[in-house]
Amino acid sequence: MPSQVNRALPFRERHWYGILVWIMAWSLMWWLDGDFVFQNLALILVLASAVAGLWIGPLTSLLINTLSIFYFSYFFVNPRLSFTPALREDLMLLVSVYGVSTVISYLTVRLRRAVTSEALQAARTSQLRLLSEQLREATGWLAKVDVLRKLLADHAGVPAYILLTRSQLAVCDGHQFEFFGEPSPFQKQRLILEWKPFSVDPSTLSKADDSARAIPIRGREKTWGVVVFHDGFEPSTDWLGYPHFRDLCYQLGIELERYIALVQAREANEQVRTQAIRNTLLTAISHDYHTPLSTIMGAASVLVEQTKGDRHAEFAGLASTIVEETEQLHRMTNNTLQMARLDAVGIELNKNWESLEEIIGTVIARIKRRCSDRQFIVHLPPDLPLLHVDVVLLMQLLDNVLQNSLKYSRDESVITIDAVSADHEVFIRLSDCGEGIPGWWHEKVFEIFQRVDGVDLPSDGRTGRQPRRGAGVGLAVCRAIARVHGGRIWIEDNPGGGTRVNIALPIGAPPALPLSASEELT
Amino acid sequence: MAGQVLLVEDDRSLRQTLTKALELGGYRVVQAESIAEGTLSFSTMINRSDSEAIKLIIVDLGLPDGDGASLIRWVRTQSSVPLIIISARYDDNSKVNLLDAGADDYLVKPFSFTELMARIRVAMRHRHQDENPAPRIYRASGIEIDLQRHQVIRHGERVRLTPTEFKLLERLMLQSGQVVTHRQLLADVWGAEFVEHTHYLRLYMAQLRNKLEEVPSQPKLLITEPGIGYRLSEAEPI
Repeated sequence: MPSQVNRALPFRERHWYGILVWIMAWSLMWWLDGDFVFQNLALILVLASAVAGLWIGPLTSLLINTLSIFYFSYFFVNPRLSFTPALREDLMLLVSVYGVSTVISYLTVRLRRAVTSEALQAARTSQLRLLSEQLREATGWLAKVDVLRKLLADHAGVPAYILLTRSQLAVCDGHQFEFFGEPSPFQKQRLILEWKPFSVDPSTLSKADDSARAIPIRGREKTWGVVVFHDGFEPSTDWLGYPHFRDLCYQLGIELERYIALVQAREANEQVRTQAIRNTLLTAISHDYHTPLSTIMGAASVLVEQTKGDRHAEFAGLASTIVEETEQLHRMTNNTLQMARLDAVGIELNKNWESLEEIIGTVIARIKRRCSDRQFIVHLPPDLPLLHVDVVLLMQLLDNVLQNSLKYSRDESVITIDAVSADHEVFIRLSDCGEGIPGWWHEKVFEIFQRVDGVDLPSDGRTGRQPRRGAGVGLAVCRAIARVHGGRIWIEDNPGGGTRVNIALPIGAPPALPLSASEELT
Repeated sequence: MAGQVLLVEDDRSLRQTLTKALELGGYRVVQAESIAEGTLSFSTMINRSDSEAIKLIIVDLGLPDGDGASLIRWVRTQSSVPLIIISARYDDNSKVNLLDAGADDYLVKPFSFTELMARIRVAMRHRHQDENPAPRIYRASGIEIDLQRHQVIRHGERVRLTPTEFKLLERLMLQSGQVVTHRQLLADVWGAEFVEHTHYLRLYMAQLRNKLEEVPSQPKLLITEPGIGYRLSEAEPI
């Protein structure tokens, strides 16, 4: 298995090896004693010190060297069984041997450490590279996380458990976390507890405590999750310790970031493409409708005019129906066209300082041209500020809301419009006394292609159950219009029965007035 | 006969329907389906005798060989004949520019026969005003504006207006029944350097409505043309 780690490093610190070397050296000296003069035997001391340095630390080396030189002086140097050599040359020899063996053993230790650290570094690097390749090859984020989990468990010798937050992965299905390695309920609790400090402030992680047993899975920008090991695991102090585990986890963090970015880019591309196709289609269709609609409207309105007061009153009625239906179709076409426009990236609004009173007045006037018998009550405070809006869009918003109110309320009922300005927003409320909309639909009606269909509503006393028309674009357009203005729209029950639509629009800083205006404007 | 109308519209069905409608309204119609054809018809007929001359032009803004605007600008260099624009959409900004450039009024598709006739009637009336002195008195919805005496009467009582309010009303009355763009109003009432200050208009119009309208929030006299300008309702026939 390629991920298998070679834990055997050249010349790891093993004191027994060093001591064995010394025992062999002393045995050799005792054996050769008599055949060789002690001056020659002293060279064995130098050799032993150099070889033992491969396995023992510098201090131990120094200690053994010192002991050895006294031992050698006592047993081998003339006069024997005395620490004082007879000749000054012999003392000189002992001092030289001690010096040389100390220096050599020190150098050997240094060399060993350099070689070991290099080998360690190489092993770590190659493993990180290997992991990064494996992560890259694994398809899907689940597989990627599993690659890391298996590797960590392999190293630690105990099961490793991973918690990943779903919110970061943009796969939300109601669960907040994804667990790996089949943790027990207890382990799950531990994972969540360990995750908490990481989720609060990822910046504190840069100096994570090495003794902590939870290892964060971090990328360059965010923290994805956390790893814990099965109970009783103590991170080793050798090269496979906490820092290396953290580096391995970092590989996964980076890979997840790369992978998610890739997936998101692909999805965004796809979405832009489908949206562009849809919008082009909608725009083309809606645009092409305008001219035939004008023709129908022109022809039908001539008929209305020509049959007015005529004995063919039923023809006038039929012609009026054509006119009304054409207007309805025109409104729906406009909504569809606007929806496509508002969906498009980088839409430019034609904003101006507008008076809400004028806009509402115009919308009502247009509605009254069609249904002159409907009653509207408008309460607008005189100090209502001007709004910085695209007037055509805002009119479309209000018209759509009022059309809905008209459609779902009795002819004789009154529609009330009022507005207040508070803090940084103007609130517009449009209330009808119609059928009302069930609570669970208050949000849904704003989604495109959603209508309160199939819901058991009280029937209209006048016409019985009214067929619901339109593809459900109207209120979706309203929300889109409110959104592009930095505003909101929502529905609540009208206290007196029926529906109340609330619109909140931000108030900007209105432009200054001419000086003369202060005298003229009251 | 009320006169001859030049209709420039590329869609055949709409052109024929509008022609029928105009004929029912008592006009003779010269049809054109492109700017080139419209230009040709207009230049050949401009110098004809009075009964054959073109009294009004209706132009669609989306034509195959241009956007209709070039035709309007060209016509304005030749004559002051009334011009009505047909626009496909409310949020089409070019119509404001064309109104400023000299077009008389606009219609947004789909429009009704009644609307078309009303626009033509007003445009024709203003055309006659160019030749005859403009009326100095306006009456509608219980309001009487007398430019001569510099006064406004509402239900028999004099209404006190500030000088700016009066100037604004006077400017609208000059073209009563027709849309006057924000730019035209601001330039004529405040001065050319104020043409971008549409918020002046909002405030002064609100004040005028408070003084003149029965229900200021649902005006009958001072009509808003959103994104374009204002229109003083057509005067009641005397």
